[in-house]
Amino acid sequence: MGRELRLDIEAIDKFAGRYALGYERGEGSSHFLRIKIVGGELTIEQAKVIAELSEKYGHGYLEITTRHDIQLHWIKDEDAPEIFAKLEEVGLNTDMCGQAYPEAKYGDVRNIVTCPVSGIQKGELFNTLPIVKEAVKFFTGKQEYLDLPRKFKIAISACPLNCVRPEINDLGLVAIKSSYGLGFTPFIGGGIGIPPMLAKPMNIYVGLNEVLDFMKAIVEIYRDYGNRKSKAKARFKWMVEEFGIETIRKLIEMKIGKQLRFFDAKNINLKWGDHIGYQPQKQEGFYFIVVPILAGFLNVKQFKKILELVNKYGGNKIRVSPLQKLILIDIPKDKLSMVIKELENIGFNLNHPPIRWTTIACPTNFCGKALENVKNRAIEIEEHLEKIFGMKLKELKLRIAISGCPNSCAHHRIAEIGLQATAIKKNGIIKPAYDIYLRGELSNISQLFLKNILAEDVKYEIEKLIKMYLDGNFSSFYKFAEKCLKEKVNYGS
Amino acid sequence: MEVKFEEVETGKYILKVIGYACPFPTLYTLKALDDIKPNEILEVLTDSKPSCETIPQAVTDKGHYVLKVEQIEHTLWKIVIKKKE
Repeated sequence: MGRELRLDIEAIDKFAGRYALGYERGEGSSHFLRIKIVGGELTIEQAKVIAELSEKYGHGYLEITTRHDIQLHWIKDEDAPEIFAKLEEVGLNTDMCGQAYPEAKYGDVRNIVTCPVSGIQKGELFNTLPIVKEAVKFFTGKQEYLDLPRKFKIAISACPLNCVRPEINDLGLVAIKSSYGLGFTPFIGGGIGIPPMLAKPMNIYVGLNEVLDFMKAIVEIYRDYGNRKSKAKARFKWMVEEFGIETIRKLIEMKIGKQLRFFDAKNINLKWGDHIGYQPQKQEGFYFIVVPILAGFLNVKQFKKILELVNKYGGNKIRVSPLQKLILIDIPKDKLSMVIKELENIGFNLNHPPIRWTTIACPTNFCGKALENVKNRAIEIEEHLEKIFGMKLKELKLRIAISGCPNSCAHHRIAEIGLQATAIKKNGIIKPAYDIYLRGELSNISQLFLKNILAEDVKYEIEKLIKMYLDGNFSSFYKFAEKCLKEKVNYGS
Repeated sequence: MEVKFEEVETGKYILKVIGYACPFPTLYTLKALDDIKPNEILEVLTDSKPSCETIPQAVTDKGHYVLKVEQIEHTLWKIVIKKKE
């Protein structure tokens, strides 16, 4: 035993548990800063702080993630206390990034995703934002929720398009109107890393005034009973597989001290769609515009110009979407055309087919899990398709998602066309390549269609597929994809 | 989460940082180095694997010497640092 000394760390230690940096090794960056945008709602004051941090510490680069976080790179350890203090001033927190630990521990509740146009979307059952804000506030920084076996992902959806894809989360709460009243029916055990699984219905009703207790109970059950022996099998989906829905329901009932009410979730229509272009809000006379930020990254100059534009039309908030986009909201009808024109000047022309909005990619150039920058590849593919097909793509509402590895950060395993980076050896040289997945009509999980397509050729393979679909008179892309998968047609390359 | 800083023998210190993600292990290591004398030894014990890269990088940037980085248990690493003169 030695002599204990005092270390003067109070000024830094106060941030532990609410702020952290993620570890990475790509593009010369050691750390990223993943800022949680609660419910995807960002005030202009908060957005300006993020812009300032990006300029000062992050090479003027900003990324939007599929959990509506904003991510900065090239962050140095020693700058972190100042950065955390700036974020704290405007009420922003970060992820805890526990994935860097080799064991099944230090997992946290990740940013809770919800429809980025909650509260303004026509046709939504109710506004989920207040519930999301309350839940995020509850879980943030609490020691008892900072040592889960792994990360825990929650989605709360009242969106008619289910734009957040609730079933790919550990817990997906889907809004319902039942005989008990408004509330949610939970789906549990989703996750699209290896192997991809969609969440299963619990067939219960959770009332609006019960939902926080329900979330708390399920996170605590995972914390207390989840597998801590194997990191690979520690995500909640494995616990759901092992315990079964009924046992988990009983454990929740024991926690909350009452029986959960039955709700038959089999007829729930979890149709998937995405918000694109501009749409009228449910507030008469106002519009929102989803800014087509291809592959989810932009530079700080563009970001600041967008903020100036918001100021110009009199807005005070923007939204951040899980489809890696920014959304301008509360645009008065008489200013809509001005805003569209200004966005074009900033580099975001709205006159594009839907794939401009729905082509997404992960930041693998920073995590280093692929041989190439898949965001740049996504841009190349999208631009190629637009060049070949033009506005013939107008009716093509599908996602093209590119992930650098099987972890599916860009959700390629639920996209209509999904690409997963790989590598092949050609003439003795290792080259970047992709496996292509298609989502047919039998499953919402995409299936492997073509393997080992050289990266430089992948745009031609997708062109070929889309041409066959457009020429083929299929009633849906899913029917076409199913045919491709079933017949195992080898298109060659 | 645990931070413990102690002098185990003359000129040799141990800093234990358990349960902290980046950047805290690195920042606490730099703090501890501020508190010891030139040429003294600081052993950092951490369960954060990335810190085995980030701590050596940060301390060598400041002119200190990394003498050893070793895994002493399944999820515990030791980084031995000599403070610069």
